[in-house]
Amino acid sequence: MKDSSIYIENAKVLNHQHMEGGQHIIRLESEKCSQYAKPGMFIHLKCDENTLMRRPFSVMRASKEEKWIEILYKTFGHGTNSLKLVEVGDTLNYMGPIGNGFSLSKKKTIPLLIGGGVGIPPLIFLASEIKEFCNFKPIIFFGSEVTFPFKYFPSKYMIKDFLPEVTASPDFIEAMGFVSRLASQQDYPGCYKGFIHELAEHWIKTLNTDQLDKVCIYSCGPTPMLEAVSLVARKYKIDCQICIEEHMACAVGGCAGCIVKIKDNNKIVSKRVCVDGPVFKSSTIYYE
Amino acid sequence: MVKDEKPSNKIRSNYFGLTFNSPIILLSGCVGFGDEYTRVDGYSNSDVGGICLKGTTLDERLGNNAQRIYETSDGMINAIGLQNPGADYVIDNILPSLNFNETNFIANISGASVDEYVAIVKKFDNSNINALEINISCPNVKEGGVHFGNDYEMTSKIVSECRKNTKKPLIIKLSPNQSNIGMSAQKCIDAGADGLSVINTISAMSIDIKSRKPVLDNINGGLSGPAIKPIALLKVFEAYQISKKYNIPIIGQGGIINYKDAIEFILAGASLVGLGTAMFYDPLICPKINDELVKYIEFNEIKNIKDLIGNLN
Repeated sequence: MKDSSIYIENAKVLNHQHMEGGQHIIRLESEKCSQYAKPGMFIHLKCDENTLMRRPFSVMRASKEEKWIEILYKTFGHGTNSLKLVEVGDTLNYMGPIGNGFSLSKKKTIPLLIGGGVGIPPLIFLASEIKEFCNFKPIIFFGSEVTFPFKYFPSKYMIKDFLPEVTASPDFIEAMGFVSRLASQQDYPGCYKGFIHELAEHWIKTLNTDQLDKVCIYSCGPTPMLEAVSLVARKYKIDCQICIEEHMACAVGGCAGCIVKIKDNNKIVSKRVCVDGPVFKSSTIYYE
Repeated sequence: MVKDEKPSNKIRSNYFGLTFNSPIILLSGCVGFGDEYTRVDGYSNSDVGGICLKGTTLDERLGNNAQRIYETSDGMINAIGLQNPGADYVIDNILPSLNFNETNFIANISGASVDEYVAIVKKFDNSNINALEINISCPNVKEGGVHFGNDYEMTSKIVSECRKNTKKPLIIKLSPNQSNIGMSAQKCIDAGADGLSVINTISAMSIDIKSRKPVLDNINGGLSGPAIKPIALLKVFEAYQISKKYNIPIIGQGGIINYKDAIEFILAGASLVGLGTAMFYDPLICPKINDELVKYIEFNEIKNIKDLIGNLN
């Protein structure tokens, strides 16, 4: 018998914000999940009473004191399209927190956070945790192909020997005192026009050997992005943790519906993204 | 959290020498190897009559590539491909960690040949497992599985060979992907089955019209959930027309998500009822169904749930 660690909550919707690009942020009451959630962990949410399967969403923010959690989601299928209709004061049912989150290494004092699309939320959570508990100075790169779900403007922080035209930085990251830049294939002002892993590599190239040794990558996003980030990590011999997204049914390890193939002592094994992950060392992932 | 209180004796029953505190059986492939759901606060294995462990083969299997699951209208398709660590690992490392005082644990066995079925049965026969469920109906593997279940001769052979090699209760999981499930039930019973699981998932597929590719990497998978309930109900009814002559219990399954569904299956002829996909929706659904079954029994002035089996007007 395992220790109970996943809680089922019937929670009031405290806030529901609708943004461009079909993006939404929902704040939910949370007695338990708010107390135990770590960056990289997720909740499994019933979008409505008539949708059979729950949907997994990374926790973006959690307040232990005020007892709430926040998730960001993008409308995609019928589950999220019905979720967007939920109003403040309505009740939603979710399970959480689920999975193993990111693990900050004490030796790696320069965290490099790379988040793409709906993979941005766990890195926002990680940035908040770094701000609260560490004296690390992370560098944060976010990428999106739709309007970013936050305000951004030219950063007051310069990065030495870095692309001078890439200046856009999210307002709330800037307020934390952290350096950040944005990437998109769209022509957004001040953003790097291209893939986010390319932007990260431009920054990595500005580092000397000592600095490089202190970097650890923490990343979440679509599979092709994570694969590209993993290759950059391997090229520069940087430790890298990636938070994987996969279709899920039970989210407690019972159905093995959400697997990732892992290299384990010269053998390939199937691991469950929900409870064995969703965060894995990128060097262990087997890409076919 | 372990609950001391067990479900009411009004829903308690005995089959093949085992006591089932509830008619609910958690189905193979949905609840891992018996302790996965104990991660959920408020969940207890004591709330169910039995748990069918994940399908086990002789050797470890990696299973199919992702994507393995897909939600459909009122159901889901899965193609896990029998990912499991192999029979020896299950017996040596998983069974010792299970609390057999909480519920009955049933091994679910799959093979690509008669010899493989027999080899696994022999291994479990020497373990403390409560019963064996023989899966001759998995739709998601290239060899064996549903192909065996649709071949009456092969069905007879597998069941009789397994029967020769174990004294444990032997339950055969039947496929809905066949035209005459009654004939299949008859063959299983003649070959020595103690119980029948009716039904396994229904072969199905989904296509992504943007990429013009099958959604599941395995192309076909097994459809489960409320979408298949009317089909499952009829198959239980048909199998029961045979099994009732021999007092062979049926674990009715296929889209049960509430007590009303459970009652329907019992009225169609099921002695026990299986829950799978419903657990994904609500991991705490079993005690709720137990309570509602008791209320139904009391309201209808019935002594025990057994009195409802096949009791259609």
